[in-house]
Amino acid sequence: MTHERHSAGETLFQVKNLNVGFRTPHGYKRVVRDFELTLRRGETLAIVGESGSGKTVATRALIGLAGDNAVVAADVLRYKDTDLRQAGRQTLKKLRGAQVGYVLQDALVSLDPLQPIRNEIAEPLDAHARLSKAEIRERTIQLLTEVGVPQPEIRKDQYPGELSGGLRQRALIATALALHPPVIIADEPTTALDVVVQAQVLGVLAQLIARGTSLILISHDLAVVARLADRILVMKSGIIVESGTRDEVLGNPQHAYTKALIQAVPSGDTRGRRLSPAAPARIGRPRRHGEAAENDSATPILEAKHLSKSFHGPDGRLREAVADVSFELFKGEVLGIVGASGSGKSTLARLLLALTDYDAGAVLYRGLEWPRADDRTKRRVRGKISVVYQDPYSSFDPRWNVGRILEDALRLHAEDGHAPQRADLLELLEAVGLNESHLRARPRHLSGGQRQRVAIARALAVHPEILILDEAVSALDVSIQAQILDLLEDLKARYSLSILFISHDLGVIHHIADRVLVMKDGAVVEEGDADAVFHAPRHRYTQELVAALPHFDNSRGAGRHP
Amino acid sequence: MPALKLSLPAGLAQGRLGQTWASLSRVPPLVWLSALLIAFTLWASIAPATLVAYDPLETDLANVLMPFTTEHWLGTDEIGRDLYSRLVHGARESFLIGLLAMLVAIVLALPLGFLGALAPRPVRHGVDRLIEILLGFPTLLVALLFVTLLGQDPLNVAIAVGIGSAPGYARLIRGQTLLVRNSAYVEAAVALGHTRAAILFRHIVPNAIRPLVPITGLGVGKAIVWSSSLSFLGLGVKPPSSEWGALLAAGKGQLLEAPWLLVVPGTAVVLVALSFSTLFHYLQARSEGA
Repeated sequence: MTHERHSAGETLFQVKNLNVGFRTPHGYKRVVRDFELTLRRGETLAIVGESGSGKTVATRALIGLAGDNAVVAADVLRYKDTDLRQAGRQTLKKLRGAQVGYVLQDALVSLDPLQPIRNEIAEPLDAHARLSKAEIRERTIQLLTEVGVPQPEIRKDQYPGELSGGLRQRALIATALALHPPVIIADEPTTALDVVVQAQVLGVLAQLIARGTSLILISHDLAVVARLADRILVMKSGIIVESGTRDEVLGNPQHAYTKALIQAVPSGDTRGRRLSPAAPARIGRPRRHGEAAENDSATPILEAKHLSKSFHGPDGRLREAVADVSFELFKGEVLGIVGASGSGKSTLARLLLALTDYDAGAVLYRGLEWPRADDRTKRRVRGKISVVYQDPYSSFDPRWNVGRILEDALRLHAEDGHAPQRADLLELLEAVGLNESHLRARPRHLSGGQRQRVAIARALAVHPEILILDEAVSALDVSIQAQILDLLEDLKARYSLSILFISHDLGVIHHIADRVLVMKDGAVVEEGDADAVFHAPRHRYTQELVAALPHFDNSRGAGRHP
Repeated sequence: MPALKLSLPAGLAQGRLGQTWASLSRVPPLVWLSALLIAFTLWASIAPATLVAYDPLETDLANVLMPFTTEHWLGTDEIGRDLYSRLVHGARESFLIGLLAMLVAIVLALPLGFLGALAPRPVRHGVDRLIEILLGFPTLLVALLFVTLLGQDPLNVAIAVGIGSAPGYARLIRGQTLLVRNSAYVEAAVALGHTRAAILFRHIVPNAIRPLVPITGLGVGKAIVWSSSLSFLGLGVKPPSSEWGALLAAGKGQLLEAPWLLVVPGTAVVLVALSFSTLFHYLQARSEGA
């Protein structure tokens, strides 16, 4: 793909010194400061930054969607020859849809669940173009075909709930395309999608670009950006810290924040390297927990033997969520489990934690089938196997503050109900990079990264030998994810933990795991050393996954694979 | 609802007190009004004599069936008793019956709700069916049945109304308990290795009954309406008591000559019930972080 032939095209969006703020009950809050942007015809511009950096607000302000309580001011805010600062509601309405298609962030909630998708797509056609019913029907099918929805005649009559995430995202793109606008704004179009589906959606966007559509792509995923963008803006705390062509920004970043962002992307190339620029961890003395140190690395610490579990689907039929899964986890090892959503990863975690009973097979902790043991034994083993979930917030009692949450877990380890010492609490907080000031905080007042640190601290409080991480970094920004991944490496060494790391993100798994299991439809399709699996996948599905991964090489600079 | 605008000396605006004041000044006026009315009713039921000039049973045959006058500003009944005094003195009974009925309802509903959510399957299903069957009967009908069985007296009215409204609350507690039991934080507690008892008392019970606090307040208002209804039908508190339902019942004979005898106590019941629901709806919304 070369975009050079477009780069001399006419200027579509021109923005200078855009400031956006919000009036809140606590006063005025500025979220975008001196934002500048120029978008030419046929060009793809990516805006990169973590959540809260103002990238969404800035782009929404371009098309008059900043919100009722927003204060928007700019020296220049122009689409072609229209000055948008003076534009009224009608002008902006015409701009959206006819000139600019906006793809909202979350396909899951952006489509009306009570409308078949044809209505959603027909809406802009109805509002902007006078077309007959038959024409609208024809156009709908044509649009769905354009965005690669198979069997559009059938799909158009289906409801969002009947479509997979990838199809919903494509339907959403189709609504933005309805009037063939010259500009598409896509806000995190592939976030929360599986790699394979992500690759399909990226393919659709690449086709649009090839046909000459200009794209403003908002994303925190540098791999996605590297694949599509001509130019990149990097935002932090409402300010553009760096901008330039893709190769300049990714290949030769100037600003420390951009460098950190690029460093933070986990992949096979970052194995054994720290992802976050934070000071190197003060790795304390490794602590012994009860048992004498064992060196018999031949016995697995956790073992699954031919595990199977079925559920009744909504149609009443049995569906096998986990099918004949066997693996061994050895002491001090990180075992990665990777697979698309619905592949049975989380069910497997629940079976290992004895939160759900299995139909067949066995889960062994040091040779003991503990999920079938008596309550006392079970509770003892639960202390040895801790878990951290994707959404830490919902795993905290809403009435409790951080101190109480941790105390509650510490008390479990201190046998005979000894009240935990304050020193233990503080050590725990320190281990996960928090401090005394967080003790009284309630989880709802903490950031996503801090919450995940609290969840990890709670998991460590019982002095586990095994840590099961179920998509534990999936909901975090790249830079926060980098910090948590680094933290996990530190903790693994400090507490000699064995880790079972479940994720749909191949980069994360390749970064952290020693060995990898690839799951598909409840079964393990491939198992082996992480490098071997990712560099020379044997199973067709693994090959598909690896091929779908938009590769981002941050060991040298930027690169994009064919 | 527009917020009540109140200003505060600048020095006080900061700090804890200032914050409390700031959040109080955002309370809508209608909620303030409701709170005021409830406070008045509460005061009336504790010390009615401090609020009135006449004895509620004192007859004044010179002023019979008087409409609103400066002397008797809510009028008098057929034997010249001051309606305002009777209303204030009746507040205690109406209020206490409402509170007691709510207490009975919750005491019955709590075990039913918890059993319906947490007991072993056969017990759980049995309790669920029982709640559903009881829910099939209108509250007033169940209350009527029990007041007939127990005999007419204020205490029995409260118990009857309590029994009548219990199934609804049991259902609510059951749903809330199920929600908490299936929550991620309960699962996290299980995974940590807590005992069942610890999880039940530290997580499930406190979180399941949390939303009950405002709902109980709403219920008091409703219970006052129910018990007044019973009295109005002649099955609750009897004259000469001036419980509001009894006032209504006594007033219905003079509907044409002295409509205020019906309108005034009726309005009192409606206003108090409304105040309870306004105030506690507001508290509920706040506790849910809305």
